[in-house]
This record gives sequence, C-alpha cells and structure tokens, in this order.
Amino acid sequence: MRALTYQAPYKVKVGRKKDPEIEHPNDVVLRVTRAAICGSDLHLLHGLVPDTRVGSTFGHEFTGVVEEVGPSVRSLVKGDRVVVPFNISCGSCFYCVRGLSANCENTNPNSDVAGGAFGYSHLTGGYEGGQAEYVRVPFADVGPMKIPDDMDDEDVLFLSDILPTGYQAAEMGEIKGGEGVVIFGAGPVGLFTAKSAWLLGAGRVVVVDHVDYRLEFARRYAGVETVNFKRVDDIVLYLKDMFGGRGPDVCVDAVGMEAEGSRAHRALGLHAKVEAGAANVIAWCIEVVRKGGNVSVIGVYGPPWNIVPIGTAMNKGLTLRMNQCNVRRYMPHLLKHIREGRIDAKKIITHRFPLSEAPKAYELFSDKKDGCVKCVLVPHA
Amino acid sequence: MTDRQRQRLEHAGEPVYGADLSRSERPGVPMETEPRSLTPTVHWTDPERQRPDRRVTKRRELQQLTPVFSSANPPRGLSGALRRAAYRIPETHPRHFLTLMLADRVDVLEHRFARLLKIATLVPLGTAAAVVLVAKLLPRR
Repeated sequence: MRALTYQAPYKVKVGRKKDPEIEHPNDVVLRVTRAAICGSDLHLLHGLVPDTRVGSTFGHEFTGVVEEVGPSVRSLVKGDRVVVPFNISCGSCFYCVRGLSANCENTNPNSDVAGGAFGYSHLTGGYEGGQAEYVRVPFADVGPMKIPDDMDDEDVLFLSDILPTGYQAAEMGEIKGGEGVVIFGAGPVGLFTAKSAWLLGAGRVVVVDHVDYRLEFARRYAGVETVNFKRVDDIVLYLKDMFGGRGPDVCVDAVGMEAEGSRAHRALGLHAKVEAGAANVIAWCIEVVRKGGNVSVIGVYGPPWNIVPIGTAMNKGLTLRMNQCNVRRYMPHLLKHIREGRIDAKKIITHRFPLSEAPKAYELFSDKKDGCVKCVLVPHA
Repeated sequence: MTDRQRQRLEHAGEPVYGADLSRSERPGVPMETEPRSLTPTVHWTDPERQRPDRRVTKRRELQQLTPVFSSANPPRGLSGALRRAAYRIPETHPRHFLTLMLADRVDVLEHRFARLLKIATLVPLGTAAAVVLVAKLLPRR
C-alpha cells in the first residue's frame, strides 16, 4: 500500500509499505477514506516527540471502510463505514471502565504516561497511523463508531479527535453559565473549544493567537472576540484588563509545546531542549486567569519536564485540569450536535489533498500558508 | 453595552448557546465515573493476548507486553540498540527520554547512510552495465 512515512525532522514522504494485517482477534483493517493532519502531528514532524522512528506513518484522525475483520469482532462487518477515536482503548481495564479511555493501560507497552494512540510515535505504542491507504485498528469492538448512512465521512471525521478534544477542553474549564473564557490558540482545537464554550453557556469568549487569518476565521466561525498577542504590549495585562482587571474565569491552553510568544521558552525548549517544548501558554494561562479560576490544558506537551509557574497557580488558588481526550464517550453526544446543526465541523476544512501530496499538505499546514486551517488527505482519490 | 453583554445577546438566539448548560448534558462530567462498561460492545473482562512474532520494545516495569501492541517499525541497528537501552531505564528518569531522542537522531543518520550506500552501489553497477550493453550493441569492425 501507499503511506506517508517519517524520514527526518521536517521531512516526510509517501512511499510503499507492507499492507496491515489482523494481528489480534479483535482487530479490523480499514480502507482509509479520509485522514486529517492534526496540529499535534506537527510536533512529530518537527522531531519533538521521543521515539519517533524513521518509516513510521502518522495520522490519528481518520474514517474508513472495514476491509478485514478479526475472528472475535462482533460489532463490525466488512463494508461498514466507521470513524475511529485517536485513542486505542481496551474498554475493560481499570481506567477504561472509569471513562478514562485515553489512559488505557492495556494498549501501550512503552510508556505508563500515555495510552495507545494511532500514528503518534512509540511513546504511545508505535501503532501505524491513518495517513495511508489502509490501517490496522485494534479493539474494533471498543473504539470505532459506525457512520450513519445519511452522513458523509467529512461530517463526522473530526469526531476522531479535535471536536471531542475541544469540547473536553471547554468542559474541563467547568463553565457553569456566564463565565468569561480565554482560549489560547485559534487552530482547529481552539475553534472547537470556542464553539463548545458557547454550548456550555459561557458568557464571553476571547480567542488569542498571532496569526491574523486564523483570528478572522475564529470570529466568523465561532463568533468570538479575538486578540493578536503580537499587537499588544503585554498580553497578560491586556487580557486582565479586558476582564475588569481580575482576569477571566477560565483559561484554556489549546496550543501546546510549540507556542510562539516567548523567546526564552523557545530557546530553552525547542532549540536547547532543556525543557520539552515552549510552555509559555501554560504560564500565560496561570498569570491571566482570575484567582480561584480554572485552567484547562489540552495542548500537547512531551516528557520529561517543562518550566511552569506552579507557585503562582498555588497562591492564586487555581484549579488545573488536563488530560488527553477520552474521545469515545463524547462521540454520540457530539454526533447529535452535528446532526442537529449546532456544530458544522467540516466547515473548518480549508484544503484537501490526495495522499501523494501529503508532504505538500504538511508544509502548508506547518507554515500556515494559503489561509490553511485544516488539511484533509483523501488516500484513494 | 459591554462586550460581554453584546456577545451574550448575539448568541442568545442561537441553538448553540447554553445547549449543554446542564451537567447531565456533559458526557465527560465527572471525568472519572463509577466503574461501568466503556461501550456496550466490550465482551471480555481480560482481553485476549496478541502474540509477538518479532522483537517489540516495552518499558522496564512491565513483566510482559500489554495484551495489544504494535509490531511496526521494530528497533534495528545502532538506533535500535539505543532504544532497547532506553527502555531498560525507568521512564521516571530523564535519561530514558534523552536516550530515546538520541536514538531518533541516530535512526535518521542510519537511514541517510543506507540510502547513500545504495546510491554508491547502484550507480557504478548501473554505469558498468550500460557501458557493457552499449559495447555489445555497437557494430564491430
């Protein structure tokens, strides 16, 4: 089959590799119909995630058609169309039965920090990703959700990751109605966090970024106020002022380890590798949010450590909440929102490419060229 | 009118605003639930175990591999040796991740070297074959 493969930091190519096979009785093999490129794939592309092996295939947001079915699979048959959560979860371990499917302990032999995930280095188990013609999906009776006949793949593609991730980010902010929410990052997850903040009853939503076209998109798509942090003197003071000098009730970090905005963090984290990426957005969240407020971290950070002002968080009495998204439990609920027109998830897709042009898609997305918000690959185009 | 009032007014008429205000409408609340089946289709208590047919890395504290794992991209060469060494170090030690990062860079160099070697072997062989072919095709005097 053809698949995208990692070659070196900032270099991927499309080549041929062995077709996936059934390796466990509860596996299925999917023919991939759509595979999106996620912002967190860029951390892999940029060589920031440990144990990213040359030849591995990225991609954890995909839909597909079941091609082969393992002998113990009961819920799927050949020909079913499915959308697959990025987490690989057994459904029966200590964490899965408590709803924490992102923290499954039966799918990642390499690390106790994270559960298994598709196409996200051996740090999350080394599973091959969906930016390929075919992909192996373990625990097929747990993760994949059938796509309703009256919906197309792109309607539900983002139920695999970014829509539930954005929703969980807003939910972790513990919005009870009327709160002021500041979301750092106007990428796809930030956009869905903003949409979700309205669903949860936020009173005011502000999105912060430094890319003007993305802020413009956020205003149109999510009806939020925006701030370009490069156009204000001090983003912390500016945001505090916007919320009566105290700061907002909730801050969300939807950026993660490659944040712009601090030369010191970028030098230490991205160049000298003294910390695992640039963690200035967590610092901003902690500084900006009002005392007693909530900080929700959904941006991805790598091990082993980051420089975070934890003393400030303690003295301000903040609640810090975070996790990888437990995607499976959100899928039915958010499908209902899509079906009933509250969220038009596919509206954020700005570019589509055949698989052969995946390297170009990565370049476009990474460099934020041509108004790119979200790229989707069509492997069998 | 303040920005806050204006925003609330703008969104008040939309079906989006406050649709999930009730905690019962929030799928992730509480984040950790009482033990229950994640999906109704889970039909095992302990999952069946996948059998390894090649070398697969695992963290030091695991007695055996997890029931499901990936067999893709097994460790090979010098980078593979470094990765195996890294997985003998507990992941609570920074050395574990630093060794993995080093292995990643060595992996890239190994693949570049292998590609150069391929070119260095194939180009002279191809040139020699072409010369022989042309010599055979040329009419003899």
